[in-house]
Amino acid sequence: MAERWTIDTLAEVWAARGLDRRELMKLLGAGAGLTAMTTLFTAPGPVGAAQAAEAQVSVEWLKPQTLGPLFSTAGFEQQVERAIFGTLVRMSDVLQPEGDLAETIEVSPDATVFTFRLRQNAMFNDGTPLTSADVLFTFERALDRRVGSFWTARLQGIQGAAEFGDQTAPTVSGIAVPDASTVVFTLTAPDAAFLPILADFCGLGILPKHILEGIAPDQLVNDAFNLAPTVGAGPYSFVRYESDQFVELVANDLFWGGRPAVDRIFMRIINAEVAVAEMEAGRLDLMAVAIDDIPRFQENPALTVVTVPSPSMDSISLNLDLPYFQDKRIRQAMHYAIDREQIVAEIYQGNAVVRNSPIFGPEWMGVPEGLNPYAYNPDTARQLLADAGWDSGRSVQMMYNPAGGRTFANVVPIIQAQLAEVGFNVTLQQYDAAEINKHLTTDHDYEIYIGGGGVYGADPNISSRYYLSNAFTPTGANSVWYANPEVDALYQEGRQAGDQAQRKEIYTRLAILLNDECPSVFLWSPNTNFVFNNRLVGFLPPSYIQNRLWQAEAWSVAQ
Amino acid sequence: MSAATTAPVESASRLATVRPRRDVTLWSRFRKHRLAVVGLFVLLVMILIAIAAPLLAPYDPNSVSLSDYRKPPSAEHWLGTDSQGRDVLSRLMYAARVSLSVGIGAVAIYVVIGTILGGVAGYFGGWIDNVIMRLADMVLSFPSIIVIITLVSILGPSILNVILVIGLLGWPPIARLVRGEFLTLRERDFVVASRSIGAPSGRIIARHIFPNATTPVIVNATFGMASAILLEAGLSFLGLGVQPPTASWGNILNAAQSITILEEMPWLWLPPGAAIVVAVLAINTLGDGLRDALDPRSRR
Amino acid sequence: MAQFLLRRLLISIPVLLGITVAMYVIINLAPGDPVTALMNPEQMANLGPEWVEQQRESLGLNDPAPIRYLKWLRETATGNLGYSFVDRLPVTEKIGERIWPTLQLMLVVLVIAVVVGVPLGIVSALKQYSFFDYLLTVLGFLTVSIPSFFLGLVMIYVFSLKLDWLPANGMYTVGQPRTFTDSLSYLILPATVLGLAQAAPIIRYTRASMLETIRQDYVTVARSKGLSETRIVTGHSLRNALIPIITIIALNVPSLLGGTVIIEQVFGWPGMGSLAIASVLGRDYNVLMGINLVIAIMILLSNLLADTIYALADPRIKYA
Repeated sequence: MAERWTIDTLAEVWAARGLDRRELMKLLGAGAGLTAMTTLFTAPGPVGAAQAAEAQVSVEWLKPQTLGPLFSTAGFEQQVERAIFGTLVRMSDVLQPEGDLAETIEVSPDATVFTFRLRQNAMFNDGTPLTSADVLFTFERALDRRVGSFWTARLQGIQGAAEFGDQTAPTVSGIAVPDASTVVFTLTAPDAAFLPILADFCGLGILPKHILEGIAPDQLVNDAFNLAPTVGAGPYSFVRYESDQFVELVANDLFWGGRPAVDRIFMRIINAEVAVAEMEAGRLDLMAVAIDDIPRFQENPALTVVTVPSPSMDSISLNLDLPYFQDKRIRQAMHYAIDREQIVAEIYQGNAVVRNSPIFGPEWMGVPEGLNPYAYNPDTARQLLADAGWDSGRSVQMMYNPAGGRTFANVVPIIQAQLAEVGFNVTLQQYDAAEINKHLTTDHDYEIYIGGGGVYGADPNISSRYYLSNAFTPTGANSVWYANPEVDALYQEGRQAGDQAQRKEIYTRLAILLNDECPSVFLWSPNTNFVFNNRLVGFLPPSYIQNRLWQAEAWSVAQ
Repeated sequence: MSAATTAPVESASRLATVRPRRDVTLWSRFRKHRLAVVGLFVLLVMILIAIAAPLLAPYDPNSVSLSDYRKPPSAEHWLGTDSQGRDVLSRLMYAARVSLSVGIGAVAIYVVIGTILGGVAGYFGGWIDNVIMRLADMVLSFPSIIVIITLVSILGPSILNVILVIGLLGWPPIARLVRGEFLTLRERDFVVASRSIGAPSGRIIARHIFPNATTPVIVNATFGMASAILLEAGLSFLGLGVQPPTASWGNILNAAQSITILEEMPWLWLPPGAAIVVAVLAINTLGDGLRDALDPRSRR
Repeated sequence: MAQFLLRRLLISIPVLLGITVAMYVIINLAPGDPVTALMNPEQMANLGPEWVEQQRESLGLNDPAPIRYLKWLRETATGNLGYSFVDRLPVTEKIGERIWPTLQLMLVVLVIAVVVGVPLGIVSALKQYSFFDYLLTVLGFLTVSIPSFFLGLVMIYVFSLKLDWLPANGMYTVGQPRTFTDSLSYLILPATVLGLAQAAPIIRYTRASMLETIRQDYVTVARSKGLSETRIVTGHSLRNALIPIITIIALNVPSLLGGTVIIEQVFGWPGMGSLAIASVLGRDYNVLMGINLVIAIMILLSNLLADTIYALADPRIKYA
């Protein structure tokens, strides 16, 4: 990882493997070449020569609310934070946790003690060495309830997290720093999913203690540093944020992996339609692309389209608190009523994978076998609805956020029509994110919600946050209010099981159970599609949803 | 629905019966404005199509067919099918009902509010007049599009709410017009005469003042209809328009807001785009003709 | 004159107060909570209701609405518009960096509208009821009949993608030194889309007021003295027609501001319109109040300008 590659050496390696870049990307799209690419990039090689002219890259992005790692709640912000700060752990391209600022990670056999050794040359861009004190500071702030970080709840498995959070203990008993480059986390119970949680979504950026320690914990959220994080240890440094226009990043001379070859990256805030025009005109180098626009980009010899499977999933949530949704046959009927295969084929143009359970990754887990595929069958759906005593005169409201993308917005009325076909009548209601949150989480007064997201594919345990009976909204993320002791027990078992084979067996049982219980209506995982200008060399399809900057330290620009 | 769509026709004919002598010349002057006559005709045709949509539309506008995803125009689907495999022509016809009723409904609301408030202000004068006119100033100084966006997101986007919100914010120009008319007419001989013979206020207003105020209000309302239709389209662009699957010209056009569709699938944007342009153009030229016919200064 | 202006300004104060009260009521009716508005549900759930409550308290959202309004008013009077709930920046700073792009855009739009609208209006008046007159009427109505978001996309497609003449997004080329011509090239597309729509009413009013002045006695006198038509048009008619034209431009400021909201969205122009939309979606009350206040002041000032010009031009209107 530590090495950078010049265009020439990259080309040599590619040529030696008999692949030109385009073919390699196609392979990646099929998911087959992923491991090949990893070895390619982790193999040692010569350090590249300095670039003559400044190499700049423009990336399509969204409007950020904050760039403070403790406060970001959106994946696209966290990608940039990872590039600015660096994290302890990150997800590899096959969704395996791997070290970022940590050079090695040791896990005790019972998965309760995690020892991280930091890279010796890890350094903030102002020249201050990054030490275990910075890591401790970051996690202390993350656990302190006065800060209001969204990481607080995620890290409750660490010993003494709650006591420190409430200020009843002066230190976190479960985090020890024996020396300047070692951090040891001790958990209250075995947790095989601890590393994926630390890496979720892009990991918690390690903050510079010497800059931020003077700020009172409850004032961190108001600090200007959140939109001007000028000090970090990641491959790129923050230069400026022009409101609603772009964030400018510059290569960090002191980056532990060596100065990246791309001198400057502009994360441009731009609406999707206009981005298409900018991409074709060559004023943009990389963007996430909508399915409609894939063919036009594929025809363009200057551009390459890459498709990666996504760890997220679109699903339909029914408020199971309502008496008329409680019979599982109703949810099963909805699976049968929606022609998911054909929607994926026609509307998604094959660019999505139908799901029948929330457990489908990472690689060691795979898609469990023995699930009911719920193949499209409106007659079965009608029968199930009749058996469950569904009143076809009832009309329920399905809310959604049209900002979920054009393809998604196109699909919603189709689902509505297909459900109506079997006598399940829904009316559609578009809301913005604020109102969805209110109905889904705060007030819990919705009937049906359709939407997508999550990182189910990162670890089979991830879905527990949506289905555990002690995680009801608003204190948890179980927005359907699904409760089943059997499901709770299996999630618990899977988290405490040590080896992967055992975990796989447990989660397969769980998947079969959830597949029959249908706590949600599982739809599909839409692939993530990127298009990049061929002048951008080294762009790798990211492990996470639309993580445009994944491996950005390995990028270079063709002259 | 049908009552709302025929409103301007009704008031136009009422106009013709209330003051016959003046309106014979009005019609003959209006007729000279060829474009306006064409506009009136086009608008009437559109209203007819909207009313008769269930009879004319070849398909159910909301009937989804996955195998007909974005098919170009053909013998079965004259204007092709959309991203849900629905018939574009049928959706366009049904959308005419929604878009025209947004135009007509919103304007009807603010004409009523504006006429009442303007009438009250003009007839009674004094502090009542002052309060109402300051209120009008206030509403006129509102950053209206932002207020509309906020209100629609509060009430939830729907046809009715879009109509209501546009209607509630549009009244000040009408109120000013009606008040102005009242102020000038109040002192006219025939009003003074009626008052002197002891006719009650309500009767004077209904018989003498309103008929005179009708004409400028109609001109204003016509232009208002055009801008309400455009405003609904703009709200659709911002995701606050009429809710799917109900079709409006604005949300059909917004569904086609993509470079790829623009380039490769003209049947998805040309029909709704043309419908909006033709309707707004027709209404605007109609308004222009009415204004020319009513405004003596533009005569040679 | 000073007295007239003062009186008008004084009348504006209660109107402005009324606007802020009305806006406050409307904004506070909005569903959704500024603390959680833009979070995804899962992350919000992670934080828990206590955190939300703590944030509400620290943002002062737990006071009753009338108290909050009075606090807002008191602070506003001292020039402090509060802080954004979303990114915690001062509202004055946020609006400050957005107001210039919007004013810049409006100015160029007005220039385009006047440069296109006034000459065409004059010609249209001189050739009343000619084919040209009709053509202009239709074209004028056509530009105001196309939804601006769609016309914007078409322009981007033609001029940015196909011809590659003009950039489509932002204010200047990122990563390059800012130059005047570069900035101008970014202004052309958005300003043209809006400018064409704004030119239409100017054509109409120029035509109407030219028609009126052409028939005035002094023009007839000038003509009888043998002055050339050009002299008459530019020297006499236009000068007198200009006053109502300027009035119309000033009165059109609200519609111009409304137009920028959508155009800024389409072209990624970082002005007040795009800030307003983001604030509505994020329930960022303080920013929204600030924007509304600024826009209301702009509208009141433009109305005042229109009235003043009108008063100056028409001796029948008394200043007192």
